[in-house]
Amino acid sequence: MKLSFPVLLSGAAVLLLVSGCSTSPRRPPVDVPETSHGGEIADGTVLDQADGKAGADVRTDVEDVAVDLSPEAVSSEVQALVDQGKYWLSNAEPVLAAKEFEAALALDPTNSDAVFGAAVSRYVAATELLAMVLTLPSQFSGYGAGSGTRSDPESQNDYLAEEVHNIFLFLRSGFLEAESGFSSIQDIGFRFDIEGVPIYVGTRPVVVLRGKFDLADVRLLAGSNAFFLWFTELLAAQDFRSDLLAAAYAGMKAQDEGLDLFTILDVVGHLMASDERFFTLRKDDGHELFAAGMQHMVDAGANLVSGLSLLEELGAEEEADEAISLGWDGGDRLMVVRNRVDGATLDEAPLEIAFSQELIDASQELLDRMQVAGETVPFSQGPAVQLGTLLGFAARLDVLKFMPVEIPIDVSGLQPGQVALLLALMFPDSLGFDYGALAAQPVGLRVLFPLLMKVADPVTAADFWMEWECPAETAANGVPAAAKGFVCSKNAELVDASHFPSTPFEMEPDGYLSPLPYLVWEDPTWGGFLLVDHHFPPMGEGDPEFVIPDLALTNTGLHVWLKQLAGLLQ
Amino acid sequence: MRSHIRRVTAALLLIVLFGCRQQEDPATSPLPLQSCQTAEQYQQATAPAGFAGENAAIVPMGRRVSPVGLLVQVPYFPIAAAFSPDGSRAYVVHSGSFTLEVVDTVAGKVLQSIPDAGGFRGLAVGKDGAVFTAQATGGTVTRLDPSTDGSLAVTVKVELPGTPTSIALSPSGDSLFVVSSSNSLGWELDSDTFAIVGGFMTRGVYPYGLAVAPDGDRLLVTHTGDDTVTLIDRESGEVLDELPAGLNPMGIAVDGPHNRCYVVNSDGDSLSVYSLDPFEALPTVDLSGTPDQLPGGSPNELALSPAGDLLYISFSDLNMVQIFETEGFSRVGAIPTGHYPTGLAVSGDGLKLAICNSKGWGGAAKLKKEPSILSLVDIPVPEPQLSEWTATADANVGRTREFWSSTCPDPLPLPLDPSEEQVVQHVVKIVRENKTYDAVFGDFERGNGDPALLVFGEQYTPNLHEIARRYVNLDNYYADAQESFQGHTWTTQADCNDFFEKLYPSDLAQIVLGGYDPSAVLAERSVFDNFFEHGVTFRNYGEFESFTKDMFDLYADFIDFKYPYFNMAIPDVWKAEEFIRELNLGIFPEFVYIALPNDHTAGAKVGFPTPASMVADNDEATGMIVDALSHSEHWEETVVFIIEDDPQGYGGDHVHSHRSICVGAGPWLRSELTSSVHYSIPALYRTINMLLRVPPMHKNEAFAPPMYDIFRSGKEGDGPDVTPFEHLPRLVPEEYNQKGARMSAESELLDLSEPDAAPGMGYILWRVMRGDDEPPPYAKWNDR
Repeated sequence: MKLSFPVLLSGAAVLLLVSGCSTSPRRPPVDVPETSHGGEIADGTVLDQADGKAGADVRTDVEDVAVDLSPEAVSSEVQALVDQGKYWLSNAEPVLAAKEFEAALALDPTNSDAVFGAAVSRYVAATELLAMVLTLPSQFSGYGAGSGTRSDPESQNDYLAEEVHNIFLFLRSGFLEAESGFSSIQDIGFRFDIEGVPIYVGTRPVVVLRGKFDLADVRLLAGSNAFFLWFTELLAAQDFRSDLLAAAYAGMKAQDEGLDLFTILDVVGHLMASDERFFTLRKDDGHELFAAGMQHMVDAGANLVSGLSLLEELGAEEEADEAISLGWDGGDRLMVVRNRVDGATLDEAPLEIAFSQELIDASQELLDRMQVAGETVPFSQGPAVQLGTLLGFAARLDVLKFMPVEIPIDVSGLQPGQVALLLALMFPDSLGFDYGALAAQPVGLRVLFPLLMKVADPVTAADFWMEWECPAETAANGVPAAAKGFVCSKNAELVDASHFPSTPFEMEPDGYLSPLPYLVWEDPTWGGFLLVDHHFPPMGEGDPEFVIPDLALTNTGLHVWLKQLAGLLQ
Repeated sequence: MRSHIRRVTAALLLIVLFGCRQQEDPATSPLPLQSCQTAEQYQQATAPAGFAGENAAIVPMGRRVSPVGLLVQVPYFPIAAAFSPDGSRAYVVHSGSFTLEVVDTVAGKVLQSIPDAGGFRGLAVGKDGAVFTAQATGGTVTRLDPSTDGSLAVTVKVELPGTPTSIALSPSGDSLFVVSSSNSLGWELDSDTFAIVGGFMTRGVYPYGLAVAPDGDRLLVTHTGDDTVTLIDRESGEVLDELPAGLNPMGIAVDGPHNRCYVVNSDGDSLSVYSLDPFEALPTVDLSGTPDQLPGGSPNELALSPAGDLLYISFSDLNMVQIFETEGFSRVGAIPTGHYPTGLAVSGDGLKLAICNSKGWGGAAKLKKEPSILSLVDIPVPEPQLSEWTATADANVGRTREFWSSTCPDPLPLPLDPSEEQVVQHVVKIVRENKTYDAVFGDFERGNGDPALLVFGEQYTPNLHEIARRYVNLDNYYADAQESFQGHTWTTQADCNDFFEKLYPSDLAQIVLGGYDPSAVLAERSVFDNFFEHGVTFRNYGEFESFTKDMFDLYADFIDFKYPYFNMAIPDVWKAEEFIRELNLGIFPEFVYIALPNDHTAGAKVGFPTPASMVADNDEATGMIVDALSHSEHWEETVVFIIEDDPQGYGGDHVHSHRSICVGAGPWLRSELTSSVHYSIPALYRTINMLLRVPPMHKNEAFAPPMYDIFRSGKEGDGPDVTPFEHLPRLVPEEYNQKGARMSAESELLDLSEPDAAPGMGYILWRVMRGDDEPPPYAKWNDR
């Protein structure tokens, strides 16, 4: 069964969000044999006991005994370590669990329980850490007014930018550790029994995966792990040098009131305007990380396809006692996750996430098209599907409440397909994205963001201007080489012109020579500006209702559109 | 018969009375425990912080300050001073207000206080008497000129894109140089017109000090972010060279006669010396004054005599200015100062020294933002005056070391005796938010509480009261943080280094990460570093201050990443459950740091739980933790300390604005004891270090008095009491602030995004909890 990429992403998102947690405090720990360390923390490292202080969280009662290397003895030791690892994992201590499993692997690298246990432990620990880090910016206070100027290369802001990079590298490392373990499990008969794998966000679990884990679950976890690798690598590849302190300050101050879209845009706009390096690819490791991320995006899709296929395959043979299983609701597939946890009551209940065939088909098609350069995928068929299913999964898991951005409506009842459809309706069909070109030629995220400038324009009443940065060079098809797939007007002339000509808002040229890409609709009444499909006839021909947009008009239109979007969410 | 009964009764009474004395429970008997502690020692040990005689005060850490010279009252936190060319005037700027004061150096009074004319340490005076200042927050540089009547008036002002931290005039006076800390930019301005005539980048992180070489062609800049000094060509703006300095290089002074410059390293307790031609490092001078070079003296600013023979260095944490010869750098003597001396200036004729005593009398006055002091001292100081002052300055610092007799033959309490087996294996420190002693214990039956200042009494804090009742309560304990946000710096470092002491009062004057910036960690070592280096296991629940530089590598395994940092949306009870979950799994290292922040409250902010509800949640969480520990297998080896990070607001205190809460619990602590010994956070960490057999990491810890009196001796009959503690349920229901409730409008302006960023919270809470009651006039506040 082929499954669409957004489905896979959605599953990844679910598992990602789910997997960050640890124990269920209400369940008694797994009954495991007594270990030599009596339940105290152990890292398996030989210690230097010379000063009587062995270092943090280490065993202090290691006895110097003769080592029995018989297969039986080793097997027993391995089993004890695996059992202890399961104990820690089911009790929400994935780091401790990983160390036990890795100690077992050191004795027996082929032990499948240890392989999977180490991988899933590292994965759970990494996602838990990711969840914490995503809330961390609110804990850092950038004081004072921003300078608004480019900093000296060795200034405070640059130092911070490097720290942000290192944080994402650190996050990535955890997922990398899990990746190799997941990929090494190939046996269709693989089974991993554990009381449960709780996944926390903060002090409460959001999901506890209860039941057996089979190869299908391995693939699903691997897929979500790959998705997080893509995410961390994408961000680690970026150059964050800009006026970070002032931006952090502004964002932090706003968070108390509830971040809204315009505040976020304001902050991003400040960063973009403060330093031209911001969100370009890092010169040292940016390309390498970007490429790795794109590969992981593909891997995520492949693993999730495989996983869902295996769910269907293995489900017919297994009892309904699995952490993740497949169900049906009419013609829609249901991913049944056991279980979602109510953070307040700690009650557990299975979570069903629906995948319509349309969503699956659209996602599969996207998966195929996104690996081909030159293939422009309309927003409604690409990002809307991806983003919609991702948000839909998050909504079903009820984890959106942890996001710093306040969502004023209850979306927890929405299925991924519904969110995807909603987003698709909001964007015109001719807005597209060339994934393949992006994968083939790494570029920083900057190219995807418009240049945002906050203004207080009394004439247009606009709060800010948005302009994309594009070079003057344009390919034969009208797409600037560096635009990486953004739809640009095929025949738009790259000249500077007066803004809002013959309108009450008419403005002088501002010397900005790059109007590409921009959004232009066929219908000039839609939101106040026009969308031109990139196959539109050459300028000067065609529909007389078509008005050549200029930057000011585009800016105003975007402003209006965003307000409409915000209103839709109210 | 009746007389026989009376005799028997009398005898029985005598037996009871005499017998009670003989069988006095050592666990509850009052001080002193030391057989040879003198009455004077006891009196000194239990004296509260505050004024202590003429021109003297005891500061929260227990040290004494006794500034000498002509004392001039100036607004809060003076940070730099300069003299007029004729020495008749001194100019003072602040971190904490934006005023510039003009002081008559003969009469010793403030002649002018000019608003919006200063802000942080940028200050310079031209030969023509023009005064230049820099306001870091607004990015402005200001020139003031004396008018015919001698008063100063603003003549030129310019705004620069940055945070001007330091300024300096060229030797000719034609140019003014400015450096900005946030973006490492610098400018050369025409000193008359403020036209920008040059610019440069300093190539270091967080420029701080600025000086001009005698030739006028080169500039020297210190950088606290990367501990460097750079030499910059004035003409080209190019960095000519960069040399390492010590930890947190702050003040810089150029010695023309010796063609050298001096940089004082506030975290390294050292003086870096550089020759200017060639520009190279000369041997560093150790200023620690201790054989093991313990940091913590905070030498941060310096001034040179005109002849270049004497160097005056302010040691902020030692409350003194020390004098060194520039040949050989031997210490000549010391001048006692007020609390936390910073900026120094020597008059042109070399006969006067101005000292900025940034914290004045150490919080002795009624308000936190009390007047501070500018000392004007005649120099050079002759003998025997210098020897007397030196002895006084040294004795002031060492005051807390005299609390306990060092020659007494009594054995130390077993838990603190390094020669004995370590009986305490676990220390749990619970850090809560923002309470004075009276605000919570004003109703407590033991100790020096004032019910008139009670805000969150036993009905809101039954667990804390019961723990204090059962075990140990300290009623002469102080939270050292001068500014509320520094509270967590103190709780994680037992200090607040000079970088952060100066930064915060300037009200957002600087771009920095506050206590999270490595520059804000004294000598780049927190208590966690100290524990780690000495093999003490630890676990961190919710504290990020002083921790973040290592949280993703060195200490990643020692943090519970599920535990939130200062998130009041999550009940403290949930946080406690998380700690208890791990405790029940056997995860319980030697030192445990738990942050429970919800008693910070959100004031009357609509949508948040009421202050009473949040304090009750916090108290219940506290009780749950002690309950769980006392029922664990580790209880006999555990000591718990419960403190507040700082005493901001909440009704003030009748003893001192810094007096706060410290409650101890554990089998090895005495029972039903209120200790009135003067302690503060360094003393707490000194004690914890002794319990866990870890050496002190800086002078604050090393000089602090251990809490000897609160522990059981370990002798027969005075061993551990392992009776468990049963926590009490909250007595206050969960309720939420409603729109229109008292103080809800004022509360909307509160910044709750991080700890202690909510000025005015104290007053708000007083009104919310006490209604229309006015706080008594004697109350001492630490609120903004």
